Amino acid sequence: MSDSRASARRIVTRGAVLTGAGLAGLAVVYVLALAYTPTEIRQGLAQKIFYLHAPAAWSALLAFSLVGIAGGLYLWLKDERLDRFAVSSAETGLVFSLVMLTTGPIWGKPVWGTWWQWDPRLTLTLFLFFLFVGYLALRGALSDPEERARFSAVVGLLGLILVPFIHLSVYLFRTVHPQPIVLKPSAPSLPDAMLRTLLISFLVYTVLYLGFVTIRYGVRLAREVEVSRA
Amino acid sequence: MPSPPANGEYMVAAYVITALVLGGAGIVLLRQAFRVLRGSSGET
Repeated sequence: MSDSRASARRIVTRGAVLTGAGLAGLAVVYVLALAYTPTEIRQGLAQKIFYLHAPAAWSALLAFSLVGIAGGLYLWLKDERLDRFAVSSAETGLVFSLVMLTTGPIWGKPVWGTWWQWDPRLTLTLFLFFLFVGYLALRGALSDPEERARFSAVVGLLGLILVPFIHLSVYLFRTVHPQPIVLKPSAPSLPDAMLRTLLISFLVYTVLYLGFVTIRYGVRLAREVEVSRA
Repeated sequence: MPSPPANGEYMVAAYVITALVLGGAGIVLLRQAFRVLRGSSGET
């Protein structure tokens, strides 16, 4: 038992280091985006929202994909660590979704002339957000840990199915949302300064994702150790 | 040469919201982490 507690402490320490590095990195991204990258001629300063919005979408979709993968593996292996990781990733994914779903409309208003369009990319993304709100609500409603892990793994898998549709929706459907600029078969279509800042932002958001997930995993493990001791 | 549209207020709003959400989540999680390191479960 003391091994588990020591393990939880090691995990949250790693998570705290990653989170601290991620938050410092975010400050660097702000400086780069605001002071280093040029202002786009057609969209003006609103285009700089891109450096926060696209990496948030990446982190959210990464988080939700990993919930589904961990859920699928849980159904196969019945390893509680997978369930612990899945719920930590779902919580983290919702944080990044919140950034994605607020910065997107704020960017859309000056560029599209409207805050929101019920087009496939935006609608599917909003649906994915609510699916994972439901995922956490479902977990809160079930008291049996094994049942909770099994049911939520199925919801996580359903979310995983949505992710490729969201990424490919700009190719599959008529949509106002721009096509991918970096994650596409051909080379990224951006000037160097913009691309460099965007890639640094992707890296920083990924570190933040890892930090958030690691802390939540460690905190959950510590909580379980405490409950089992009581 | 045309000048870019004046829409800096949208950029400011997005940057402030992102800082509040990610910075806020980071601070909350770091506090939870420190509670675990001090010996409690981290969650109140």
